[in-house]
Amino acid sequence: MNWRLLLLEFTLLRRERRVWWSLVALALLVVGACLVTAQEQIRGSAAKADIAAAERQRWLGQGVKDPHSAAHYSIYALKTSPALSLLDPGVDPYVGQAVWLEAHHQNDGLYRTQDEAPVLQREGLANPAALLISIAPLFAFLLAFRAVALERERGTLRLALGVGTAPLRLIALKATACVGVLVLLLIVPVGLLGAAFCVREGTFSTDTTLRLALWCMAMTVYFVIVVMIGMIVAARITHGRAALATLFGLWTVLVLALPRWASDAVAVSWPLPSTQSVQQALQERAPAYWSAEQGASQHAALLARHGVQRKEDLPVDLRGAELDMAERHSHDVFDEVLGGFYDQVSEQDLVHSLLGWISPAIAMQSLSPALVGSDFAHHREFIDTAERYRRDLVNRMNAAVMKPVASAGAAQPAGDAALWSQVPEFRHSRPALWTAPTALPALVTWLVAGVLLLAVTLRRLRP
Amino acid sequence: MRPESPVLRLQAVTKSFAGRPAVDELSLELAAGEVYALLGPNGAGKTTTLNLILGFDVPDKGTIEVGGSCVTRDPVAVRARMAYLPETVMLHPSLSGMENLHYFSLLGGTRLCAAQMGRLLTEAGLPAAAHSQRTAVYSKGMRQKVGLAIALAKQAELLLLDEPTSGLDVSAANEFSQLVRTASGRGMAVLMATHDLSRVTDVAHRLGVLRAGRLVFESATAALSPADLEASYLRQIAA
Repeated sequence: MNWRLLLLEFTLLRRERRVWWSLVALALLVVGACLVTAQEQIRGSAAKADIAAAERQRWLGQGVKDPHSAAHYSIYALKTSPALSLLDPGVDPYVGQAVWLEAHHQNDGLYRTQDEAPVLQREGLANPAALLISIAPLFAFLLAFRAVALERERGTLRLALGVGTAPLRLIALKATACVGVLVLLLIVPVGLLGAAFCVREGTFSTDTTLRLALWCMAMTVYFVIVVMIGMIVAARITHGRAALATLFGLWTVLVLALPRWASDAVAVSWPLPSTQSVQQALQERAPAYWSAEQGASQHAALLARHGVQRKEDLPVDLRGAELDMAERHSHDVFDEVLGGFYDQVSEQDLVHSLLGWISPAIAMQSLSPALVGSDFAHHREFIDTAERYRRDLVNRMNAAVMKPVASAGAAQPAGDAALWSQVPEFRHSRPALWTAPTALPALVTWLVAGVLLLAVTLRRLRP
Repeated sequence: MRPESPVLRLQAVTKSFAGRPAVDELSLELAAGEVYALLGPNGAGKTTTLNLILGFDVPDKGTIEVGGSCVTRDPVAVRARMAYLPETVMLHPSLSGMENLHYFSLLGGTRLCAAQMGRLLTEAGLPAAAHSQRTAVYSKGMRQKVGLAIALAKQAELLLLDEPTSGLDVSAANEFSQLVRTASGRGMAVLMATHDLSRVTDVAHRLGVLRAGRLVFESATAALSPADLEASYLRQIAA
C-alpha cells in the first residue's frame, strides 16, 4: 500500500465536506452515546457499591436470632457491570442488577436499569455498538458509492484506470481509505474512551485490554465487510442511481430487516416457557412450605436415612435436618427448572448467533456483547455465582440449626455476629474471555467471501 | 514514416454491440514518434477503438498489441505503457492541479517530487499560479493540460487522445497541438480520435477515416492539403 496515495485518498474524503461532516456528526453521536452510557455506569456502580456495603453491615449487624430467620433476613447480591459495557450494554439494562438471596427461593433479578433509562437510552441512541452496527453501514455504503460509482460518473475512475493501475489495487486503496476513515472517526474514539473509563474505574486488566482490542478488531472487520459489499455493488451496477438505490435496499435488508426477522424467528422456533409456568413448576416441585403429608413423608425419610425409629434418637436437630433436606432438594429442582430455562435462553442466543451467516449485522450483534462481556452468557455467570453464594449461606445457617442440642428439651442456640461473619462477602468477578464467540466463524466467512467476490468483480472493472 | 517495429498494432479487430459492429476488421500500426489521426463522424467507432486499445472492452475478433504485448492478455500491464486523455479530462475537483498530478502519477506507478511536478505542469502550459488551485475552478483547457502533464509524467510509449481539442478555444487548441508535437518529438506514438480536421493537418503524420467501424480511407497528411483533406473526408463519410 502506497502511503502517499492513501494520504491523498484521505485528503479527498476530508475535502468532501458533506461526507466528512456527516461522518463527524455520526462520530459525535457515538461518542455522546458512550459518555451517556459511561455516566450511567459510574452512577450505577457507585450506587451498587454503596448498597452492597450497607447490605453487608445490615447482615453483620442483624443481632442475635435464629439462624433460619437469618437465612430469610438474608442479603442482596449485586451485579458488577462489565467494565466495557459502555461500548455495548448488551442485555445488561434489561436484566436485574440485584438478587434477593433467601432460603427456599432462587429469586429473579431486580432493578433493571432500562426502567430508569434516560430518553437517549430508551430510544436506543445511547448504545454505541448499536449505532456502529446499524447506522455506520449506511455511511460505509455511501463512502463505497462515492469511491466507485460517483467516480465512475465523474470520469475520474476512467482516468485512474487509464493510467495503468490494476482495478484491484485501486479499489483496495479506496476501500482502505473508507475503512480507515470509519475506524479513525468511529472506532478509535470509542476505544480510547473505553480504555480511559477502565483506567478511571480501576478495572483495567489483561482481560479488559484483550476484550477491548478484540472488540475494536471485530468492529473493524465488520466495517471492512460492509465497505466491500458496497464496493461490489457499486462496481457491478454501472448506473449510479441504480447502485445507490440498491445499496439503500441492501442496508435495509441486511441491517434492519434480517436482524429483526432473525430475532423473531428464534423466538418463534425456540419459544421460552412463560415465567408463570416456571414459577408454578418450582412451587409444585420445591414448595417453600410443606403440607402435613409432605412433612410426614420427609420426617420418615430422615429417620430412615439415620437408621433410627424416633426423632429423639437423631444425631442432629430434627428441624435443622428437615430444613437442610428441603433446601438440598430444592437445589436439584432449581438446577433442573431454572437451569433448564436459562439453558433455553442460551440456546436462543446460540441460534441467533448462527444466523450471522445471513447477515454480518446479526453476526456482529451477537459478537459485540460477547466480547464486551454484556451478553446473556456473562449474565448467567452472575446468576450462577449468586445462586452458589445463596446456597452456601443457607447451608451454613441450616448447619447451625442442625447442631444437636446439649440436652433434651434445651433451646436451640441462636446465631450471632460470630456466625454471620462466617459468611464471606459476595464477590462477583466477570469470567475471563473464555466463551467462544459463536458468531466469529460467520463474520470471518463474510470477510473471506467479500474478498473473493470483490476480486472476481474487479477482474474487469468498467470505467 | 512507416513502422519497423510498431508501438501499436491492431490486426483485424472487430467489436460488436448487440449484433451491430462498432469496429469492423480494423487494422492499424503506429511507430514511435508517429501521430495518427483517427477521423470519423459520431458513432463511427473512434472511442470504441480507444476503449479496445485500453482494454476497457474486449474485441470479439482480432488482436491488439502495444509494444509487442497483447492487450487482451494483460490489459493492466499494457495500460502501464500508455497514457490516455479522455475527451473531457475529469480530475478530482477538491484536489489542486499539483495534487491531481501527484495522485494519478502515483496510481500509474510514477513518483515525482514537487519540482518535477511543477515543471511538468508548466511544460503542459498550466500557469504556475494555478498549480495549487483546486481544479474545481479550472476551465476545460486547464484540465486538459493537467491530463497531458499526467501523460507526460508517465513517459509512456503510446498516447491515446480522445477528441482532445473538443471545447477548447483556438488559443488553447494551438497550445495543445504544440504539446502533442512535443510528445511526438520525444518518441511517443500518438493516436488521436478527432473531428477537428484543421488540427489533423497541423499535428498528425497520418490519418485514417472510420465509417461504421471500418477504416475506409488512410493517407499521409503531408500528401493532402487542408482543402483536399476536407473534401476526402466528406466524400468518405457520405459514401
